[in-house]
Amino acid sequence: MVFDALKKFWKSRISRLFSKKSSFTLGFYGPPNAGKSTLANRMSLDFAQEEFTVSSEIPHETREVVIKEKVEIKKGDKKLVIDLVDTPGIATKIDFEEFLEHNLSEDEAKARAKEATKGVIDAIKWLDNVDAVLVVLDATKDPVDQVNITILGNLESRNIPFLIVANKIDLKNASAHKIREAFPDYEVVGVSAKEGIGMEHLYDKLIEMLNK
Amino acid sequence: MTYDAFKTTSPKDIIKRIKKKNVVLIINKRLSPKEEAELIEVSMAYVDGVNFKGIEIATISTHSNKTANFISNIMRIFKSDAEGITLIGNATHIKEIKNKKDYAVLKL
Repeated sequence: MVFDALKKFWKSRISRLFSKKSSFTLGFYGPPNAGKSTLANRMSLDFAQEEFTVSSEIPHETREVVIKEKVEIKKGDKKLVIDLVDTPGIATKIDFEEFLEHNLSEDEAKARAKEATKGVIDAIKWLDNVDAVLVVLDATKDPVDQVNITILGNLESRNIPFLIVANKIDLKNASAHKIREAFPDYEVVGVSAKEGIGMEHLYDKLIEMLNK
Repeated sequence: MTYDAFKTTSPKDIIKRIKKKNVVLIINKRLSPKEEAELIEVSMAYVDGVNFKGIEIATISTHSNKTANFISNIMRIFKSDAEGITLIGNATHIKEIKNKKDYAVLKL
């Protein structure tokens, strides 16, 4: 078992060294309502001139994996082709009553909750298919959350490169600093996907990460 | 529950136990991120909206480095050993299990 894990680790390291990839599958991961779909749409708008996924204020709007294939990211003389994979928010609990607060009927709320549970399962399974990840966190919320820790731990243990995106920095009570403080070992980029703030810096960091 | 007992119990049986008996399971090790993800994944199949809304889970390090912050200590454990404990409960009855600096708060 230890031998298999070591073999897998070195195989992935060696293949990364010798096969300089130019196309990647980029997953958008994070808890519900952190702005994953808004960020995925912003990237798609910036580089493919169209949105591809639905975002809203209601939690668990994305309940199945949505993919935008072959988006060409260009920055200066650097070019990458990326499949954008918007995943449902990962949560440890789903309460249909939470959706009632957003004016959904009880039947709609229950159906949404059922779909959301399947979405969490899909998002976790998709970790096996992504080359890199943007972990999208809401900068107005406390980052010390078990879901965030579990996501980061899984990326770390699977050797999947990732950036933490502190989203919603346009909001008054947002603090990218709090996220940096909570995760000092990782790169944290502050953005407002909604307002398009900090996107150029994020693209620079993304290209840098994928070119490593 | 000892970690050895956890390892020999299927995730389905762990979730069923939490759902049925409304217990807070204390495991004498920190679960690996993959084990946590597997439990979350399995628990989602049992969410029925009434008796079971999912799980609350928290991990506490007993291998803390006082100069580092809480998360750093947890992330360090991902890379090395699994010293610590894991708390898992039924989210229908437990409002929150929240990680604090060197302890966890369980809100009912």
